[in-house]
Amino acid sequence: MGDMCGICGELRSHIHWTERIPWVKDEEVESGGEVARVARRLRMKRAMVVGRILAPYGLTIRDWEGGKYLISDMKGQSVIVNDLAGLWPWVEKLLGKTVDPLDEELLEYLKGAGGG
Amino acid sequence: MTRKVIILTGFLGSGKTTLLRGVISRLPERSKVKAVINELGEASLDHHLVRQLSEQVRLLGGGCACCNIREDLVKALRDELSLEMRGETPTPEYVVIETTGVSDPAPISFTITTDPVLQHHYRIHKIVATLSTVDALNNLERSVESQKQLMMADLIVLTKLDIEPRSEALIEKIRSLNPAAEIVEAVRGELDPNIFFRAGMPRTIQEHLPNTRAGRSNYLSVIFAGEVDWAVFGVWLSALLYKHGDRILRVKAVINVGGGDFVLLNGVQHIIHAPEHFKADPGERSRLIMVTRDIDPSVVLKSFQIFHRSLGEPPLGEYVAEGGAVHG
Repeated sequence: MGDMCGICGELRSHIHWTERIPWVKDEEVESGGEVARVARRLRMKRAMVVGRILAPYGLTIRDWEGGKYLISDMKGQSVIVNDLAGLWPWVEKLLGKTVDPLDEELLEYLKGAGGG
Repeated sequence: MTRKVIILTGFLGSGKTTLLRGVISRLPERSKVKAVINELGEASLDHHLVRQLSEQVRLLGGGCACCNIREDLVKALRDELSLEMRGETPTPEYVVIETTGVSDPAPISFTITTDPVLQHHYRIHKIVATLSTVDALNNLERSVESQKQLMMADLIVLTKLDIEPRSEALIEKIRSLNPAAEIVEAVRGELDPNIFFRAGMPRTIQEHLPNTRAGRSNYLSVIFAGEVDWAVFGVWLSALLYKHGDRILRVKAVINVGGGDFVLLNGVQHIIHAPEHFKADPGERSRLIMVTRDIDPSVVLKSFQIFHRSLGEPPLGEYVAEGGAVHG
């Protein structure tokens, strides 16, 4: 499976660390069953979490056929990415700026959105 | 078997090769270690343990200094793998890679973590930096690279103490750069191999509580109870490192993901190595350590707390935090 270096966009063949389930062996993830369900749940959760972060910027994300993510902006542009290493650079291209988890406004938004 | 890689960094003349020779000579089983040294090495080593490199860096597009492929390293480590698989050389437990004086450890880390072959056979175990005490404060003042080497290190070995003894001011300076690192001394390469080779990260927090002082501006150490959602943590950390990876020099974490499962994370700038798993008491707490540059660790902690709480997780219990004003 190919994915990209988060900064350079270089195509590399490795599983991004966020896609790994460290308490399960990689080959078990591929084999289906209960482990595959855990992998799918984590993937859906990542998409949900990213969706909440991107919402104030007008971007949406959804799981794409259980193996990739589809991000879209309000003008109808869509991009399919393999993982979070590929996602953040595309978000930057679509928005013209980088999403900053330290940004006060984003943190205030998240506090409000999550009731935290 | 995954070979544990130790990156040995430090300026030219700071005693890297002398230290390497010293620790290998004290090992009961020398075949446990292979060394990869650069052409400018200042001392010779037993040849069958060693491979020499001339640094060949493939610069990737995008201008990110740490996302470079060390092609010399890829070739050397793949060649070693072939020899080991054919039974022509023993399979080592450790591979020590010595950098040139001004080299950045990050490309080595990037190369090993992303190469399609190497990533399955090698993992970054530890970064060791040597620092000569001779005129050290002035040298550190002048050299950003030297400061960065210390900030990235798990273990800092002071050398040349027979010429100039260590000073409190120097220790204070090192601590201000990297409170998380262990600092030891080695005169003419004399160091207990266990100190050199043991893991640079405590497996559980009981083994090593932080011995640092509050108010550090570039260091975050937080210990917390409660389970952490792996998906939420991955999104938060990947976004943080994409934006600020050039200013977060090291990340280390032990994360309680529930059910007695713990994940050990270790990263250099925005490169996170393959996470490791271990079992522990489900009540064990999590720990997150970051060494930062020009970034307020208290803001990082606040962001972590808000992401965790706002994305549907229960509040994390009982914080013990150090570094910056981390009570937010």
